[in-house]
Amino acid sequence: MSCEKSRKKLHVLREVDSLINKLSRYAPSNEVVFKIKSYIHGQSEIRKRKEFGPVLDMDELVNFLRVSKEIIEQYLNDIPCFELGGKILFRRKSIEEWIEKRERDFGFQMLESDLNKVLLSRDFKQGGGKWKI
Amino acid sequence: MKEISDEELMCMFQNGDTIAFDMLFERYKIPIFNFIYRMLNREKGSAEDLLQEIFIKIVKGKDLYEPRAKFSTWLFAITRNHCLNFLKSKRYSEAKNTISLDGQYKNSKFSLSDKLAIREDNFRNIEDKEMLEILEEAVSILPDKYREVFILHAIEGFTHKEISEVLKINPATVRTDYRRAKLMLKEKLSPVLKDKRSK
Repeated sequence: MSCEKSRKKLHVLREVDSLINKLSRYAPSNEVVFKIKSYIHGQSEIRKRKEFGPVLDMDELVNFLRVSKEIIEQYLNDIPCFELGGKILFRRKSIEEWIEKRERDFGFQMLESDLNKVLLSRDFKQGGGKWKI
Repeated sequence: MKEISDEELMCMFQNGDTIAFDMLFERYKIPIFNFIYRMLNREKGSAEDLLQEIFIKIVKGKDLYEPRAKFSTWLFAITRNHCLNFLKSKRYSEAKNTISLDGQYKNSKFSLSDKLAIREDNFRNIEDKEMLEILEEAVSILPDKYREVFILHAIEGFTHKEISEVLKINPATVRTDYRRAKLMLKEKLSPVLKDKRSK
């Protein structure tokens, strides 16, 4: 019986091993490779925030907000942008206003969750402690 | 023609030869990206950002490299520290957000056990590709300590001794950690494998 058990265990281990061998290798996108290469050859520096012009393209927005392109694409419905010549562009001022709005919303959410915590607290539910009504 | 070693290329780069470092980047871009990608639970955007940061760090700190150290060990040690720092700060900010926003972020991703539960009825159709996906997910929830050893050995093909140099731990510990990682994976996968076999 125990022999049968260990045989099964060994079989599972072998299957896991063969799966591990099949794990694929991923490559970074050409865009990133190109960026790093041009940095290596001293052709580009990481853009400083103050160097941004009044209109940003996708790459500049990635540097501006310091998040990945995927995240920006995810929020593209929400971020103010416009299209010109098949390119999506962002006005810096609108982006800054959008950030301000997000800041305010985030503040409200924090307030709400704090209030919820108080309302859900045991003391408040039982009508005891300093929350007694 | 004999291939120029990593260490020679790095020395050439220290003397100002950027093409030498370009060659090193070509050699290591995929292994390093794979390591970061899996350490970061397969978030491609963040992994690419980190890849850039690491190579920028190396270009800036090229003089800190000493030729007596093996280049790959040095490179992976930097990468690993950078990844762990990133994960630490990410977890810290996530924990902060989870408390203040009442789990808004907490529920955004299904855990592996949830996914397995969802798939329970569909085991019949599990193909190799799906098995690999389950394995990838199991790898992504391994504790950091085991995950780094697993990736370095199973995917990057480092020997236990090389890993012990990268992580600055005993080779025997590497061996045990790798075995434990594999046992954890086996535990996660065995219900699926058993089911697959019984069909």
